[in-house]
Formats: sequence, C-alpha cells, structure tokens
Amino acid sequence: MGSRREYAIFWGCWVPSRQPSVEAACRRVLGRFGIGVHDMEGVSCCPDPVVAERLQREMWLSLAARNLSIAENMGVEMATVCNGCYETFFEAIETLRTNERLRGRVEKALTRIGKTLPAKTGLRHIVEILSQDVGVEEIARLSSNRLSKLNVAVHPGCHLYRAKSREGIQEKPKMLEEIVAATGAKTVDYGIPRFCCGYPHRVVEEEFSLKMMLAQKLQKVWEAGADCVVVSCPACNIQFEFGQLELKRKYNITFGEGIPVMHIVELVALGLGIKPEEFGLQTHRGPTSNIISKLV
Amino acid sequence: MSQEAEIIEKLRGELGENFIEESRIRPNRPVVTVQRDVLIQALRLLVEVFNARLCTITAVDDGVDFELIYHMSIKGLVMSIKVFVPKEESEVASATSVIPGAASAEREIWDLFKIKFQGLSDPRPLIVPYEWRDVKAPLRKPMGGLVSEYQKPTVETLMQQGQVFTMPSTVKGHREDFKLPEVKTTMTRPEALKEIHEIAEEVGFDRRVGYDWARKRLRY
Repeated sequence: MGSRREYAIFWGCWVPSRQPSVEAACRRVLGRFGIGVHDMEGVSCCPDPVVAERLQREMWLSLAARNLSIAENMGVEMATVCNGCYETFFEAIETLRTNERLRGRVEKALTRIGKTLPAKTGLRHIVEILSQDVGVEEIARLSSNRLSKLNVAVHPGCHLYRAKSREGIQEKPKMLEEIVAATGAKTVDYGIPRFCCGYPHRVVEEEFSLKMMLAQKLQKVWEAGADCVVVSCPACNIQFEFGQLELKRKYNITFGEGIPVMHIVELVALGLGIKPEEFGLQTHRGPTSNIISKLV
Repeated sequence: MSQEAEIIEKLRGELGENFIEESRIRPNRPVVTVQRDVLIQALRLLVEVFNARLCTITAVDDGVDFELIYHMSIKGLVMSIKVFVPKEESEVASATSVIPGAASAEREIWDLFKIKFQGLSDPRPLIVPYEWRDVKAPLRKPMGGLVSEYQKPTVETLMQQGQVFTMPSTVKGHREDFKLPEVKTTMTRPEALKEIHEIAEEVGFDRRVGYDWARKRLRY
C-alpha cells in the first residue's frame, strides 16, 4: 500500500442525490485503506461537460475554476468518483493554463466573489486512487473470494479515456480492469468496452440513445453472460439502470430481469467483505439480486 | 489620450453603472454596451459633445432579446452603442429626439422586427408591403433561446441551486440510513449559491440562456 493520502473529494451532482450507495461504499473503502476524505464546502455542479460547456464556455470554466479553487485552498488534491466531473476539471485545468483570454475572463469572475484562480490543483479519478495509492495487490490481498462466481462486464465510459498523451488513453481503463480482477470477480470479454453507453446522446435524441447505443451494448453484455456491468461513472450508471427501465417500457426491449449495474467502489466494497446492506446496494433502481445471489 | 479613449472615458463617467461594457469588433472599432434606459443619454452625449453622426442602426434577433446597435461616425472613428431589448417588451426610446434622421432606420426595424420606438412620430411602413402592417415581421424569430426542451430542467436547476439535480426525500432517507454526512454544496449553502449567481451575471450566462431572475426560470 502507498503512503497515506488525503483528498478533497468532489462528489458531483449524481452521487449525493441519486446514488448514495456509491458515496457510502467509497467512504467505507477509502477508510479501510487509510485514505483521508474531506468534503468540499460550498461546491457547485462541476459543471456538466456536455450541456453547460456548449451553452457558454466562460460560465462552465468559471464554475469549474471556483470548485478547483476550493480544493486548492484545502491544500490537498481533488478526487472525483465521476468520469464527467473528471473530464470537466481535466479540461478546465488545461484551458486555464493555455488560454490567456479565457483565463482573464475567469479571473475577473472569481475576483468578484473573492476567490483566486487555481494554480496547481491536482486531480485524481477514484480509479487512479485505487490503482496507484492503494494498489491492486493490496486490494487483492484484502479481498476474500466472495466474488469468485461473479462475471463482470467492465464499462470504462468515454471520459475515462481522457489522458494527456495518446499513449496514455488506455491507462485508466486498464487500471479499472485490474481493480475488477483484484476483487476476485471474473471479467467477461463482450467485445465493445469502448462503445459509449449513449448517455450524452439523450440531449439530442432519446430513442437513438436508448436503442442504437444502450441496447446494442447491453445485447453484447447479455450474450457474453455477464451477471452485471461495472462502471466508473455515475452518469453511465444511470443510463444503464434507467435506460433499461425505459427500453422495457417504451420499446419492449428486455435483458432477462434486467442487468445489474455497479460502480467500481461498490464492487471493491463487496470484495472487501462489506455487506451490500451496509452501503445500500439495494437502493439501486435496477435489480441487484444477480449480484447478491452470486456472492460466495 | 486618444479620441477613442476620451469618448469611452466620458461615456463611462456619465453613465456610471449603466455603462455595461466596452468591447472591440477589431482594433479601432469599439462597441459600448449600455443599459436600454440610458440609450438616449449616451447618443446625446456623442452627438452634442463629440459631433457624432448616425450611420445606421442594426437590429439582431438572438431569440430571447433583440440587440440594437447604433453605429456612430465621429471624425473618422466608427463607434457602436449597443443595447439589449427584451423580446417580451420589444420597445425602446426613439433616437429621433436627438437624431431626427434616425427615423428611416427605426421605421425599417419596426417593419422587419416589430420593435416599437417610443416617440417615433412617423411609424408608417417603410419597406414591407402596406398590407403587412401590424401583421408580419419577416425577420422576427419566435421566442426561444439556446436551451432545448430537454436541457431546460438541467439549466434551471443549475441556476436555482448550483447543482443539476434536486434531492428527493427518498434519497435523503437513504443518506440517513447509511449515516452519510450533510451535503455541503450550493444546494444547502445560500452564500455559496450567491457566488454562482454573481458569476452567471459577470460572464453574462443569464442573458445568454435567457434566465429570468424574478421567476427563477428560463423566459421560454
């Protein structure tokens, strides 16, 4: 295990208000590994990298900079459990560094509210923290074999491929797969892990998002015999869970009783022996019985 | 001090907080945006102090507001005065009290956009057929902004609480069940939400998306 770390954790919008089980699992998992988690006071939406950035770049960047500034004042790196938030902050840090005009606009907006431009805020995705701070060996060492019968389809999500260099785009998705393996669960090869879940497409065409994206992906997952999908992004999680309900209701497309979906921190929690009811796995909108019945 | 700097300084001093911003289309082509209420004051200053001449008036329909841009020629410099006119009101003071020749441009804009110029003495149709009078405004778009129907709840919730989702009571209950701490975001911190609103005003997000502060929702 790496040295003890502390993070300012940015939970985003989805997790606190829709997926409290992810927050509960994350707190328990990081606590188990001795990693400090500090809630951020007064943060807003990251904001959403798809909708808000398109509407006005200055607003998107100013809100992101304000959130980064809060983390910077806490004197620790910022951590996220969401690919979308990660994408926003990654892009914001780079834009503030390289775009003088936008930096000037943002600085003016932050000055008005008594804040300063973030200069050196570090950013980590929970996948990086689990892989690099904790280490897959440590996860494997502390995991029991209770997930050995669970077949998992790993869905990294588009924004997890965000990297500073072309060579780095597979790094975090690979980390995610290694973490899944370290928990003792079996990864199934369903052929299209890179394929988008369709969440962003909802903005323009819901039917396309559900039938041409989500259903295509779920079909492959279903054919590969996966018991569940594991994600690293709450938005993908929502798309898989709510999307399946909508596919059934609107288009009569089903995959058995529904394919369960979990965030990676929930899978790690189960691997560590934390009981599903301790962090609220049952509060998911989708079925979780496939998962619970496979626990050894 | 250059002529341009002198004029802008004078406008800023005279208009105070009604001077919204100065920008450039390109070097030596300044645009000064002012509050609609002081449009005539700004034009009067340019005409009476700097001998400005009106070239023309441009009207732009951005969906929720009109932009009216008064292009003024001042001894070789072309400077524009810009005001925003909410589409719900579609009304602005006529410049003819200061510049009688503004009448033809204002009549044309009335014809094409149905923006009413208060005080315009001769509002007869100028370029559209007479039978279109009060019926058609060929360049006026339907009321509507950048935000699509699907995105409206996201944008409104962002402005109302700084987050894009509300907190359902069931989730509140779950949070208590799992002993999760209080959510410390703009959702529960009014002073932090105020900062989000100040940023929205500062960068003009409220205007861009057409947000109505009083009703706390989009104007369309």
